[in-house]
Amino acid sequence: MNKLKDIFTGRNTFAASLGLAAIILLFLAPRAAVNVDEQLHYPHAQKVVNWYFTGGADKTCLETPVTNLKYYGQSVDNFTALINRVFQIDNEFLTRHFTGAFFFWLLLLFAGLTGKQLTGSYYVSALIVVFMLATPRLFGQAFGNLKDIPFATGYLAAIFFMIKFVQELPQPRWTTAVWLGLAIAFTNSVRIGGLVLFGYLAIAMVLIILLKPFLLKQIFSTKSNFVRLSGQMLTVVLTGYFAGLVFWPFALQNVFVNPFESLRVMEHYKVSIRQVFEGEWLWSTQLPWYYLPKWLLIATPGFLLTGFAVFSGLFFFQLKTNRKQLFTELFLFFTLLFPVVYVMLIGANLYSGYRQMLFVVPVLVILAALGFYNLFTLLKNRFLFAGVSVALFIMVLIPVKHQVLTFPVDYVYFNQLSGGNKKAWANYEYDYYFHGVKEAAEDLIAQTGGNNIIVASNCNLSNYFEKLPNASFRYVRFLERSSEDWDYGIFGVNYIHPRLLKSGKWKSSQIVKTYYHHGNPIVVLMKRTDKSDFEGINLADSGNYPEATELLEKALKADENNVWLISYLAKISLKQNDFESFNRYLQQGRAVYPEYEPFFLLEAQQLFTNGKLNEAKTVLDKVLTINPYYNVAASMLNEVKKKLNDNK
Amino acid sequence: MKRVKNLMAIIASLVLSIPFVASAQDGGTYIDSLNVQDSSYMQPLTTTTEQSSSNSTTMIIIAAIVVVAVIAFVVLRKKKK
Repeated sequence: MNKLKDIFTGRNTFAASLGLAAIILLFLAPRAAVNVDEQLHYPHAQKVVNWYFTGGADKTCLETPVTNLKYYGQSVDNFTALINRVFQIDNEFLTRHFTGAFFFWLLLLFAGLTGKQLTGSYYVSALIVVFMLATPRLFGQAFGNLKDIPFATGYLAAIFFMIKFVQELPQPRWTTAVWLGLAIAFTNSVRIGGLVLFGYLAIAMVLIILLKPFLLKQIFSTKSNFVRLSGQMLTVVLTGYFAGLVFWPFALQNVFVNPFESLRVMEHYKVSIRQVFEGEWLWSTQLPWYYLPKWLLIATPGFLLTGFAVFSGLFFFQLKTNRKQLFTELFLFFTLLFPVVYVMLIGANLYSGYRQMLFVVPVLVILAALGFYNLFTLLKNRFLFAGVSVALFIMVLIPVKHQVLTFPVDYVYFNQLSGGNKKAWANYEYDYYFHGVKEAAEDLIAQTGGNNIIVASNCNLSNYFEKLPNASFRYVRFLERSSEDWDYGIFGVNYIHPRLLKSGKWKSSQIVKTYYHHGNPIVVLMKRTDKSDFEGINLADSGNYPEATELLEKALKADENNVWLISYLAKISLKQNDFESFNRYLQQGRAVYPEYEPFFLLEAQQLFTNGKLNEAKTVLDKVLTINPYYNVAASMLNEVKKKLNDNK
Repeated sequence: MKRVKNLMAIIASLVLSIPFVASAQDGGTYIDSLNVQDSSYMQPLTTTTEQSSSNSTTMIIIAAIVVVAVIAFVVLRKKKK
């Protein structure tokens, strides 16, 4: 028994948990899905690497007017592009996924070490590692998300060294100062939002002096202490700022201006993306102030919310007692709350759940683990202790079971409080990273053999078909799929109005297989046996209306929910002044999808053409309420308003 | 002289026709493209997200004050006790 106790020391348990995590990560990295952001950031990373290889001659990485990619430091993406280029690695995404796994492992390490800092117990560190692994929104993005996970790693590493630095006052060690500077530099190199860490350092210093006023005297009364500390602070600031810019071409163009320009762009990101939230379809710039707290509440596992509630409760309840770690606990509280409060106050443009705010989750995990640790130390009754342990074990098992069943789409997790994944589908953004496409792409590749095929998709994941010489890939929006020439379609059940999803009328007769996640459809594989729809649209665009109508009618009979075809038929009728058919098509289309914007535009056009300006204005106002970014309707509305003014 | 007059007349008619060319498309061309975007990558926002940096700075200060005030309250309460 004693021998067993010697083996399972806290330190060994922590090391074993990290070892186990490494094995899991190494096993899963080659099986992970590629996400849509990888297809955006990796090509940019290749351009960044080329900027360095050409000595700055190739400036393509600085010209990103549409994607804003130059504003990202994205050092880890750049690192993988460099490795792939130097070692001429064929499977580029595998390099990325192993790199992601490594940074996630580092995140586990620093989270565990911070737990040890707080409690002095490595058992807490091991508990933190388990909690982190059982947090699907975090672990599920470990491989492909080379922005948010490495940023979280840098953020937590900086907090860890900051706590260490402050605890070592009045004479912090130089190694601590250097590591702190490097951690801040790394965080900034991923995303310039890491600049906030300088503010954290200042607040940590103020907080520790508030709690231990005698430190002020020790620092200022001894010249050597003061000079040493000033030098260390300068080292942290200079290293943290400038070392973070070395692998970022845009920042290097003007090191004092461009990082701040990037910060401004990031805080008010100009790209708006349509999101499903609370059963509504909104643009990300329209989302309510409580978007982030609500997402944290519904997508964080129950054991973390419970642990955090226990921690908070005990913390305030036990304030009278002399807490050794008051500074660390308060500081961690601050690093969790400040970013959340800040993005709510500035109305930051958030989307994809709390992906951009993933960096606060490890702090939440640490505080939740601390909550359970504090609770366990209070429980003197053996049965109560066992009861709480069993309850915690069961609570952890719930997300773990989800992860095992749904990998590599395990990051799509909703807790029991929100009603779970079943209730969340069509009410909240689901597989926004299109991880589900992997299985469908593999199935299609297995089916097609050597036939020449054109694959269409509503995402950019062409990577799955790049090695197939007989396959070509093209992007098309799901509802507008008939406008493109393709043989097979792999469509994520994304960017579809939640009410259309719930009615089931989004489904096409061309679907040959649907891929489910907890019973919810997330991807469909489609096969096109007849191209009447595509040919009909081409004929309509070239003005051959009779033949177009014939083909489109035929296609619509085979795929009766295809609102794009209905809108085309309505358009043809309108152009031919056949108002009876026009109204019939409009009615037919609205029976499938009442909120579809083209129907409003067509109706407004008909009213406008017939001089019914006020009615046209009402219709256009309505469609712009549904979709403020339907620019063609906005242009028509301006014209209608102008005409109404002229008529006055 | 006649050629110059003709040239001037052509230029004048071209200039005068600009408002008609630039004005709305009464002929129904608004419905030529019915496409619906999923993201505004191609359409920079001009309203909701455009805010001045000074506004951000104010917000940073407010957020920091709110969070620090909570922490200070906790610390002072503890000290009193």
